[in-house]
Amino acid sequence: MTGLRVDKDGGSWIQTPTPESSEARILRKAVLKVKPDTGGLEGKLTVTYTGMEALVKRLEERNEDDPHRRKYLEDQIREYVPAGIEVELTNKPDWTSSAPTLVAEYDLKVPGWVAGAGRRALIPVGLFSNTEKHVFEHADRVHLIYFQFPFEKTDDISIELPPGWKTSSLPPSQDQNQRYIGYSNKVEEKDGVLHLTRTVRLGLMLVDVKNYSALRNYFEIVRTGDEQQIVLQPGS
Amino acid sequence: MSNRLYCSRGPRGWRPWSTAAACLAAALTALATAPSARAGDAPAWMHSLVNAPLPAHDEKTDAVLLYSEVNITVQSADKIKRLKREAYKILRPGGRSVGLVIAYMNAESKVTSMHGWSIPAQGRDFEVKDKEAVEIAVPDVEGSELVSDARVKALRIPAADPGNIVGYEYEEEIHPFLLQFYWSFQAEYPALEAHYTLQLPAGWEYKASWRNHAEVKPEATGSNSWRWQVRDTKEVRAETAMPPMSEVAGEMIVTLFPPGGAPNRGVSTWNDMGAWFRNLASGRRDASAEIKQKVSAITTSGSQVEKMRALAGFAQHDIRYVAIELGIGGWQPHGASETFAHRYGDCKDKANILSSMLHEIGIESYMVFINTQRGEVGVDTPPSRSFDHAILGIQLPENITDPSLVAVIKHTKYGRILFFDPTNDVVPLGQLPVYLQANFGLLITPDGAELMELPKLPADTNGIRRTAKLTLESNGTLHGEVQEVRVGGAGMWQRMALRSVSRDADKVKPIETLLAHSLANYHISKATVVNFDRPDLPFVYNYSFESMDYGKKAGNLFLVRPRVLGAKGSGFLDTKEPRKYPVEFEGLSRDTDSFEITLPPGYEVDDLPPAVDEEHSFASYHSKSEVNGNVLRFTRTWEIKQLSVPLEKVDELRRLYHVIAGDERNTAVLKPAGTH
Repeated sequence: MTGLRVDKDGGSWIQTPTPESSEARILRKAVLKVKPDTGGLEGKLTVTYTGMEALVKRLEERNEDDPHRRKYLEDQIREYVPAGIEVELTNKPDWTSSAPTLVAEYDLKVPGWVAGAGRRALIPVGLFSNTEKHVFEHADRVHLIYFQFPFEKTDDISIELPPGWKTSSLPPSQDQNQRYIGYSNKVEEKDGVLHLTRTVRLGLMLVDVKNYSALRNYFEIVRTGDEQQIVLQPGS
Repeated sequence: MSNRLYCSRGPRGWRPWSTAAACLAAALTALATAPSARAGDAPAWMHSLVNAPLPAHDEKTDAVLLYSEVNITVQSADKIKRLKREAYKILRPGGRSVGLVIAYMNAESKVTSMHGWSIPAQGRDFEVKDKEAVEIAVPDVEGSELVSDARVKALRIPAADPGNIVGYEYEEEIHPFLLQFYWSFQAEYPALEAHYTLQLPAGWEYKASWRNHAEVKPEATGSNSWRWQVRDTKEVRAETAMPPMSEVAGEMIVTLFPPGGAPNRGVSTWNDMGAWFRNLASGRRDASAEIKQKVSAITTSGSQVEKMRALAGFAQHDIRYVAIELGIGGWQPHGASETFAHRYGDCKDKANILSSMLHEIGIESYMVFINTQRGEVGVDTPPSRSFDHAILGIQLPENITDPSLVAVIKHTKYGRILFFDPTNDVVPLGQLPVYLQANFGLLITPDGAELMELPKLPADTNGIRRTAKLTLESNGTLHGEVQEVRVGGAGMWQRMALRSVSRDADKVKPIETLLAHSLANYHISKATVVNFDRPDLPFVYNYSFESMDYGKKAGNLFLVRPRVLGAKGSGFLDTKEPRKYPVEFEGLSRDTDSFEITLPPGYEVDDLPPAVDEEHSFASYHSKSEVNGNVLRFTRTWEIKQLSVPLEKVDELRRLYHVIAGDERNTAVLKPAGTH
């Protein structure tokens, strides 16, 4: 942003610095189990909002009371997951301080997340992918694209499989790391526990219309990666 | 209650702004520059509430209504005073909105005084008076009037904060068109006590009717004076797809009768309502020479039905929708000749001129009052003016047997009545907008008026039929052609959405949205809209698309989702709060999908998702994935069979939505041909 710095000689134009994406982070760390009878996921989720992400949430809710803030944080999780969920905030986040982080802990249930395919079961990797799903739907763009601030989202998800379940196939890892944008997605399995890590990074604030198709293409890559599935062989 | 037929061209939910929201926004803007309040004592009736027990509520309750009072004092049939008092305790930040007092005014009523007070938990009281109030015209809103006399008077009460009590009183002078008043004592906040007082001159009588609440007997408080009291009323908390407020909230309707009756102003029966309107509309349907000439010109040839269609099309398309409603003009149609000369009018004007023109070709028709939100008026609604729209009931001659005229009921006296809405310009003669189906309308005939249920058209007259022939390449790219046929309401909404779109490129944006909700990426190579200007034919999209990486490699397997497009599942019932009200659907409907995917050479299907067969009293969902040679075929049908899902079955609906969502995510597994 351009600003006028006033001094005794009148003043001079200055440019405020562009924040880095690392100054606004969302870390979603989940420890979940597959319920073999329903195909649902259940477990704990901890979301840590850092920097601008924490500041914006505190500002939005500064005049609200506890029930409103609880619903606000639970609704955030509903926006992240592309399926109907049951979510319950379990801690008391620190709303009033100016600490760099705001931490919210939840009990999370995602009914039917594991899809059946005959003898196999499939788990989509994009558990927290919903906010990237419907952005820039249209092929044409008229106006500049403005992001409130650069940001990073990191997901760190453990999913414990039921006894006897085997992993048939893991999706290939992805790592698209460029100057202003980045996306990575990796799934590993060890001792019956799947470990999913995903990062979405966007270091832009203003994007010219001429770069719209490149930006749209980036989100298409994210969505395509998020649609990858883990193939499992349920136990008998 | 409605004080006018504001002539919606769509149901309430369709309009981007509600009148109330527009009033609120305008009032807030106007009050931003209003003078500030001063310290002043709140009245005794408010101070007596400081230690009052709070009505039952939970942690989500923003405010509670401690006291409400409405006093009606009738001085004559033309002059009535109404005093309204309310006091709230604000419990949460969201309750601050009760500090904004809004009173509606029009040709029938004028606010003569307005005061507001607050009693803070600590410190001195505040007071605001008339001079701090603002009076503004209701801003024009989509579907509403171009010119009207509707106004609001608004007052902002200071210190409307959690822990504080705010209250107000205002007095109105009313010159009623009809001698009838509504007492809506149940709303969005729990209420401790509500009072209604009626003071009538000697010889006057009243009739009280109750909706959604057991009848409460009044206490006589003096000569021809009565008082009703209701205590501990629960709040009505908004839920998605719930019935309209008037179907769930407690309300009393009081009708007044002067000595000897009040010709054309009392509404103890629906016939009275009809007589009142017939008096208003008397002589206004008469055709001028110009109308007769126009009717002759556009009905020179063709069958009787073709002539009716020509006249219906004229009312729909050649009479521009413009509402000028001043005074009784909210209810009284302009003369047909006037509407014809100006080529504009509102819903009742359009219905009136069409009636006039149909009369010229020997077909009789009758005005029908209706509410665009199904359920606002029901079989148990007491005779009242709870309508916001006017359409036409056309008496079909015996010799007309055209099968396209489906919005018909059989009337014991007038034979077959065809209902038609000339305000809706994308629903042709013979059909009925989906939001008016199974709705209750008041058919006003020359000898009476009758509340009747309009036809409910079968599910297969409304819905989306999507068929696709697609090919999956070995690199995962899916491409092919889709045809999407939209009939009934599904076509109507699409035509409405596109009617203000001028660029062809923008007409395919609904397709882009559809694809974006189902595919991670897509490229549309061709798209056309068919029958956009022919509402009598189905609305059709034809398009071709390509989506890269649709098929996902997993080791040597290939994963393909058979349900390529469209989402029928919904998460609106996934709330923590237990549901309190039935779920209302807009209309019966039947959607079908049929997707054929030609598989890449060298692969065969190893695993298919299971078929889904869900049959419920209110809806059904059936889907199936099957293989025929190298073609994977997915078919499904989603049918809404009942307009309302009763509360005891809402959980069944929620589970059904989960099953559908799961089915939509299901995947077929392909393997290299010949492997195990």
